[in-house]
Amino acid sequence: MARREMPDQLDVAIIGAGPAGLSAAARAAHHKLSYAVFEKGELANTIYEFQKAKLVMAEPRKLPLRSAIPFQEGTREAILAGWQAGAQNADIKLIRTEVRSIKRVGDVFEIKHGSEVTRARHVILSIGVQGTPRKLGAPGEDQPHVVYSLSDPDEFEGKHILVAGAGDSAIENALALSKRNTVAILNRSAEFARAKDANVKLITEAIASGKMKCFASSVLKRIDADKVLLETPEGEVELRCDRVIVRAGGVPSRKFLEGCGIALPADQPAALPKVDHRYQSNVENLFCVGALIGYPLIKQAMNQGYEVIEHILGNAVEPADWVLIKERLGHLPGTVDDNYQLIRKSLPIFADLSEPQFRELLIDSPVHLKQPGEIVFERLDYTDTFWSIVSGTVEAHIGPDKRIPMRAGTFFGELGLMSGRRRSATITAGETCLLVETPRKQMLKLISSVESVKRQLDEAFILRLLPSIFPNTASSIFSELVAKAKLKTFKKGEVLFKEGDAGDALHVIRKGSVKISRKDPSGNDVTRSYMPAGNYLGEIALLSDEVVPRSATVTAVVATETVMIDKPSFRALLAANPDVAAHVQKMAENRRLNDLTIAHNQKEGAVLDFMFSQGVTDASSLLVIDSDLCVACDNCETACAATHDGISRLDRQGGKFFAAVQLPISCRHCENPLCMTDCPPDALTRKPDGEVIIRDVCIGCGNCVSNCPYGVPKLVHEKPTKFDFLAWLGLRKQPEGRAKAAKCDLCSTLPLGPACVRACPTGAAVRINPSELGAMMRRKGGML
Amino acid sequence: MSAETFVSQRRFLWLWACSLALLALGAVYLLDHPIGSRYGGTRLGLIYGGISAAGIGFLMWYGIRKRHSYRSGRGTLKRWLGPHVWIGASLVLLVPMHSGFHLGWNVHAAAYLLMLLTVVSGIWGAYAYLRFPAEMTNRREGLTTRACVDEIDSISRDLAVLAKTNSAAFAAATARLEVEVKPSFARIMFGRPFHAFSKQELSELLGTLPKDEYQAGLKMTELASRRIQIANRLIKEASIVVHMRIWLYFHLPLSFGCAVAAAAHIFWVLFYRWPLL
Repeated sequence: MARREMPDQLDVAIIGAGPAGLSAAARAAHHKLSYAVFEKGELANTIYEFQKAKLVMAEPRKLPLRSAIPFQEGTREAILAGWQAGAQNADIKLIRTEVRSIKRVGDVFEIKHGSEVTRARHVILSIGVQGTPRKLGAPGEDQPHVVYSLSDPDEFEGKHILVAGAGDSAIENALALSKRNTVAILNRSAEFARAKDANVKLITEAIASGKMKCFASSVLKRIDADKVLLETPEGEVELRCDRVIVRAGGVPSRKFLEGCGIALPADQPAALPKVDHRYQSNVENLFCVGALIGYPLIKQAMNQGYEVIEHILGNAVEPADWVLIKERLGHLPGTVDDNYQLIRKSLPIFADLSEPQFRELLIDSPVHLKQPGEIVFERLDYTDTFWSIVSGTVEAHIGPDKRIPMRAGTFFGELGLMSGRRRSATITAGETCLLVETPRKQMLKLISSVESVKRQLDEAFILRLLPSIFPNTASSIFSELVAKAKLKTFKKGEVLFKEGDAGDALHVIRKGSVKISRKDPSGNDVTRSYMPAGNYLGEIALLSDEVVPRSATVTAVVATETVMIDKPSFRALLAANPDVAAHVQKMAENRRLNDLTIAHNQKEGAVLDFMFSQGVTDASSLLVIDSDLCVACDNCETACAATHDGISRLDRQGGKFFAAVQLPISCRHCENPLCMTDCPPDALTRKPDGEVIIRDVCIGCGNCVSNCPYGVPKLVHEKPTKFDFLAWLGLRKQPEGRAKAAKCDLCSTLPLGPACVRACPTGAAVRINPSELGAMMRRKGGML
Repeated sequence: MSAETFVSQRRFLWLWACSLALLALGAVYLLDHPIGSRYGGTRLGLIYGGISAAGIGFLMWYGIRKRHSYRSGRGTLKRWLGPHVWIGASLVLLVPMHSGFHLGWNVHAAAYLLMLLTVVSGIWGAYAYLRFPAEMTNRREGLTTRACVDEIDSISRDLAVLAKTNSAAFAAATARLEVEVKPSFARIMFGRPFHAFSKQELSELLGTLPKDEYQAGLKMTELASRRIQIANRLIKEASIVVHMRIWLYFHLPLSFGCAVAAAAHIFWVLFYRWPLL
């Protein structure tokens, strides 16, 4: 590609031609600065590598776009074409080369690329977070038929393709390609441990059914034009192969960034560079924008590209999102600026956020002015937002007469946020107070990206949970414990500790739930009980100084997080507090006596196991069919379809049975809904009474479909709004409407409740909660 | 029966209500001594006719309620099915009281006959609804229909792979153990299972395979036998579903016939014959 005549020293060097880089270049061109854009891949490489025709969103919708480069929601192709044209109009030329290092020498940066060095007074890093695709290091991997991305699986037919990698993208590519090609997948390790459960299941099935060959624990030795050589546990294998797709993840840019002089905390591998309000990093005149500083949204990145050039020129520029801040704070007395500064200064938990991060937080978080006595939320609500107190006080009602005041600068609601369970207390305003309500998704993002937010939340969690478990204890003792406590995470099915192990720690369940099982006389593990978040366990083995074996096995029923307190710390807590020691002793005794007096048998264990295996304990409302009554008339499905655009959201013939109780496939409105984990437009939300619903902003990405372990959401096509005469005549195929996820909404718009239940002629279909289901199963199984 | 059924709901409330009503109406019937004889045209006959017509209307309305009131409508469908059953059964006695137990070969008796057939088919349906679900449960052994179908599909895929990777003799043996993908209606209706191969037959089949395919053959026969077993379970279940539904194909047309005949009867007696009296 032709190169711009480059002066000795550039005003600005822009590294990375993504949306932020392009936008910065266009603004630099506008101000007639001398600049250059370096790009090692394609223009907007991340989007270039998206799947063909993928819809790219223009979120946040309300945020105005400030760039000479156009951008609006559209397909990958339309957006790439728009940017090509925009780059041409602004006469932006790319230097297609990989920048190897950036060094500051005096007032100037030396940028090494290829064998050349370019000098610039300012550098803007807009390199995103994708990093560089990891290579396999096999001879022959630089040939053109070895590629590192796949935008259109339908491009290939009848080919022999090797997909190297074991992550989600490798699996998804291999599955898509296997429809028309002979595909083999190469996995360095023995299992697909990194991928999502749904993908692992699909690939395992595909391999088992012979659709695809899998080389596990194998490596690529050599790539030739039409074959590859693999080293497998059974020896070397030569495989016919005319295309190799490497999806082995990316090498993060961390080394490169540190080479530039950017400070990154050593203990956080995923940390992003910190910038000031001008997007300047700790290195003077080195600026970072876009996904690199935590802004993966295109519009934000483009605006930052524009703003950073203005900042370099020393021009005062109001951030593009300031209009949204004005909207957010406009209803409060006083000026927007004053209120913004007040909120910024008053919340220690968010003190470490950068200015843009804080603005983004505030744009998403409603600010409430509450009058004394006004209810903020009520006990047993299913809301999951996080609240912080800017000014005034609130009161937590934890008993009929007991209120705990909370002052400005503190926060509440973190329990509901972390555990996904109902609110544990009613909160009212004490005196007039200003509160910021942050949505769950925004908080989860901060927890994973800002260390101090996570730390403060963890500490607060432990500090608030312990007094409720160990009452009447001086808070200074808990502060000591907090320093020693560790947070542990357990996957579904992972064992916290085994019966017979030496007891070495106390677990307080923060999130998720566990089951407790013990061996019966014949040695079978029998499930005895269940314990949800907010309880502690393992104390029995810690009550004496001697080594005591665990009396039961504890297994995580769902993904679970516990606070682990080691035996010495716990013993110290007990030694210092005779009251607490007595309390714990009493609890332990109670548990033992319960265990002796409640009848445990295989049948009861089977009921509990079924409930755990079906995730029932996590459900808030279950559709259950009493199959002693069900006449298979399917009126439930008909009713569901009739009330939901002609498509039934339940599958009567699917699901699982226990005795004569059927759990058909229908939404359970989980307490910790996995469908909600990865919803790009936040379309899946939960109403205060627990219902999980899909709002109309759904983009049909299918994430919820693969994330729900119970197979509930499905993608359906919207009905076309215009009548298509030719299609009606059968002369052409009816074009399919937009795909959207659909699932049970508990008929929340109908005054009389779920249509499926009301339409059952024999009363077989009921919607009940988990404990009612337990009772029903015991009755049906002849246990009551 | 462990749970409350549509027949027994609210402690047989509708059975009691209908029995009491019938007793009362029967007593009034016996006490009434009209001039001439008892027949549909007496004051009491007309009242009983009116009640019966309202009853038929209520019964017909259930069909509409079942199919069209998904969004609105009071109570659950089960709550409406109780009175539907017991009021329907009561009409068997009420209608003859209306006519003074006169029956002849005419349009009036045709309405009664059709009503009787409708009620009989309904009783058959109620019996089917009460008895068969539990039978299906016992046969399912914890597997849903969908799970059965999925398992058959997955076995078929595995068998296809086996047949493809082995000799022609192997493929032929696999084909012998095939089950129909779409069984005939007669097979479902009468619940005729697929032939379950005996130990001897399987052993003979294994004998036709080349020696080096013996192990694969064992796996194949195991899978194929399992497939037949599941397919037979599905056939039995489908057969029960057919029995549970087939009565409705009589009940519905008969009820329409009855409604039309009753309307003809009412028109006849009220607007056509009456002036002649």
